Amino acid sequence: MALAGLAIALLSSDLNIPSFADNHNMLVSINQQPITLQQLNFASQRLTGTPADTLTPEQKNTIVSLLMDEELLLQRAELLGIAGTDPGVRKALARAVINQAVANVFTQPISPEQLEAFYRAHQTLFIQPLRMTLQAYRYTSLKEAQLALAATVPITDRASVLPLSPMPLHMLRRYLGSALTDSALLLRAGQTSAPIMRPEAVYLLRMIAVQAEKILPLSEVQLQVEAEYRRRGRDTALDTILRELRQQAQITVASNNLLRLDFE
Amino acid sequence: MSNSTRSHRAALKLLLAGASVGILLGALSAMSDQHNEPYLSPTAVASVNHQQIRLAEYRRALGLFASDKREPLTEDDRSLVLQRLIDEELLIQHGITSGLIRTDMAVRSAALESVLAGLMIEIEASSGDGAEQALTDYLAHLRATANIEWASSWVAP
Repeated sequence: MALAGLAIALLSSDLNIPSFADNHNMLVSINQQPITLQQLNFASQRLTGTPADTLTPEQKNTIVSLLMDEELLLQRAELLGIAGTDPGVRKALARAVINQAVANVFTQPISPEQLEAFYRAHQTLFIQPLRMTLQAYRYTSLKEAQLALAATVPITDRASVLPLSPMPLHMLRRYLGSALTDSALLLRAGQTSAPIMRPEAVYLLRMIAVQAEKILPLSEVQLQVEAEYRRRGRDTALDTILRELRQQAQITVASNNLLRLDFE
Repeated sequence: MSNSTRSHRAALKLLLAGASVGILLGALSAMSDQHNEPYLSPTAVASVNHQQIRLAEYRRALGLFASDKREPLTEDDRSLVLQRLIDEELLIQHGITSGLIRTDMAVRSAALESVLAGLMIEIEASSGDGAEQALTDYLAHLRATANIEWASSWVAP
């Protein structure tokens, strides 16, 4: 039986097995790795800005020779395991796989129905937060602040420490600190606070306008909704490929080594 | 009882015994498989398809993660970092098996740059000067030792 198998194998070596030579797309094979007409065209386009069929035979051969050198170097890279060990190549590989996995998400059009359904399901993401237009005046003494409050004319002798534009709560806290912001939240539009004593100064707060929190209509936030839709689609696509790869992989965690690390 | 019935019973007993031995061997094999984890060196934190993730790499990733966080790292943080390293390894292995080293321009360039940089170091260490000629010679040597087959339709130089 073994002899028969060997005989068949020896005879088969002379059979005309379909190879790259029969495929018009392939120009040359280097250690069974083909260099194709598409590669030549692509390289020609990159190097000369024209397709390969506009080049002279010498020019084509120069490019093919370059591709052959590249192929030989790539084979050396594979032999040395560079793809798995070189940090730059690893980074490029991971990025390329991610780009491939999420490519559909960025190229597929989103129908108005899909966008509307996504917007309705995630409306809380598209809220314009509470914003206040507030002025805050700083005084060196309580008396000075009381006099300013008692005057019936608007405060013009000093500038507000806040810009005259609507600000969300977190920005106000950054400018004024929590205590003053909490006091500001108690004011209605047009109202001025009583003098507020703080360690560094005395303040008068005047609320100019309050814009309540509101859900923005889809027409106003269409671009943000699309971006969020695609971002989530990208995450899902990435999760999917990682789940598939994990299912096919053999993964072992060295718990003992990790425990030792934690105790160090 | 006839001889034929007796021989049938004996055959059944034999079959039963054989099946029992088979079940026993199967169970033993399954148990031994549970302990058949890939060998992990003391400097590895995990293995992904026999490719080990090194302790040093894990420490470096933890350091990067910690530098972005004000509070001390928690058990969940450490686990997250390890899972991300495993994910990264999975993506890289998938990229290699998908042939991205040839088909993706960024990967191809990075691999060529890396192999050329390594070669230049070797060449400079051995010959000192004439690096370009040495590289040309090296490529000629690679060509001479490679199995190169031209398509019949192509006029080879």
